[in-house]
Amino acid sequence: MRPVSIVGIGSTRFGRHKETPLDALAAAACREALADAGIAAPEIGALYLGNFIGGVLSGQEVLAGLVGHQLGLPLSAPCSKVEGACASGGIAFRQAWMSVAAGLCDFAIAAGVEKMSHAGTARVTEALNCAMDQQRDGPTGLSFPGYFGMAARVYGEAHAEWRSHLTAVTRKNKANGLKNPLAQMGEDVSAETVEHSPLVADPLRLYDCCPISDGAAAVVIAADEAVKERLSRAGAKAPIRIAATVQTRGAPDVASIRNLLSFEATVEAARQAYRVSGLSPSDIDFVELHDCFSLTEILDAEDLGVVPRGMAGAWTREGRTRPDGDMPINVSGGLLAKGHPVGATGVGQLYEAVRQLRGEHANPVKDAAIGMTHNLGGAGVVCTVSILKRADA
Amino acid sequence: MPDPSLRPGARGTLVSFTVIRKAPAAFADEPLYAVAIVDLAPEPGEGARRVIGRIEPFDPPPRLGAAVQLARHARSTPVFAPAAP
Repeated sequence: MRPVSIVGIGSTRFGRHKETPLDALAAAACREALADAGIAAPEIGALYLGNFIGGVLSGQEVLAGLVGHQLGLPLSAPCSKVEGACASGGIAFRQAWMSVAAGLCDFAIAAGVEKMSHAGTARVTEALNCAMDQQRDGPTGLSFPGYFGMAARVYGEAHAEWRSHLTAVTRKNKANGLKNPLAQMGEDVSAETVEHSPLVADPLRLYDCCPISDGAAAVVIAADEAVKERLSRAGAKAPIRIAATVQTRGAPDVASIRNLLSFEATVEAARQAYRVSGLSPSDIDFVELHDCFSLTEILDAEDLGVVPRGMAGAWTREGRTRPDGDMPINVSGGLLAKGHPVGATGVGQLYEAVRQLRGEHANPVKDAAIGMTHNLGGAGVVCTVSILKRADA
Repeated sequence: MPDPSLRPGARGTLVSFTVIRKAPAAFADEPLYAVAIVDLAPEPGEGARRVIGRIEPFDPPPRLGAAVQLARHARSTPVFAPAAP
């Protein structure tokens, strides 16, 4: 495998894009990424597009072909939609990386897109349930907030101050989102508002849950040997090296999950990412992780090893995961505040990490040189973890 | 189809549960319900087994670790209730 870097990024705002069709939304993010990279569409050798529920909610498949056409990609470029529930974007990125790293092409686009806000909550909840085992879990009437509600109840048995831990995650990410121009709903929110919001799946409340979102994000990746000459051009942005991008599987149904306070797919993905990159948790300067619910951020941070096991709630409450803390988590606002257009989220995290590593993020982490992204599908049936680093790190 | 290996009255302990207040569309017309995870007591010659189902009643909320038993099936879903003492 040859060295590969991210050389261009693009993203729509996350939120509502009622008037823009799915393919146009994705194409907008891709065009921005191509322009950012200074690479023309005819040079692109492959497009991988993450999308989860476009078929169910919009009746649209073959999305990658539609987007490739809009962009004017060569007929020789494979355009593929990939699906892995809420990890679809992270999977698209890894597929694009494989194409370039293996030498099949020099330039590829990884993108993700979703439109959800046109459907009501019940329909969206049902569509997301496609990521659930439909023989055992689906027939019970479980929802994803329901799964994480059951996990939160177990967390509450282990941590008497569980409510303040979850509230601290929400308040931090909502505050971070206020500084991110792409975020759907940043907010300076009081603990009282969080803790008196309506119950969604006991004990999780509305403010423990990410919003329903539309949005798209894209990155252009390139073989380092193919961009050497471009780097000497005036105004060229420094490539961000892909130190690792891995994908793992986990339990596909709830009864197969032994420990509700950990995802084995995440634990394994982190282990593989550290091994491939030769890095360790202490090398990571910031993390964009999959906080679909407030509780999930706590579990993810511990699974990734960036916070000691059992300590993420307390660390959050003490401010140690804020942008100026020991281990900044979800400086973008995360899924809770930036939004969660499910198929786009994994690529959106990479967009945020690249902005941060370029030193151009609206909510900067001081001296950030190495960043991690973590994208989780279903109740942990699939996970991707990537580590990005500045070329000089 | 109900799981034929789950015999009526099968006993277990409650691992966790939640009340679904924003139901998926197919369940939106049902009254409030609670989904639960139960660890079944091992049958002779078998290991412990975890299943997902529902629990009734759920108000007041049952304690985690409480003894439960299979009351019935609602279509394919096992429905648990507090175990008879």
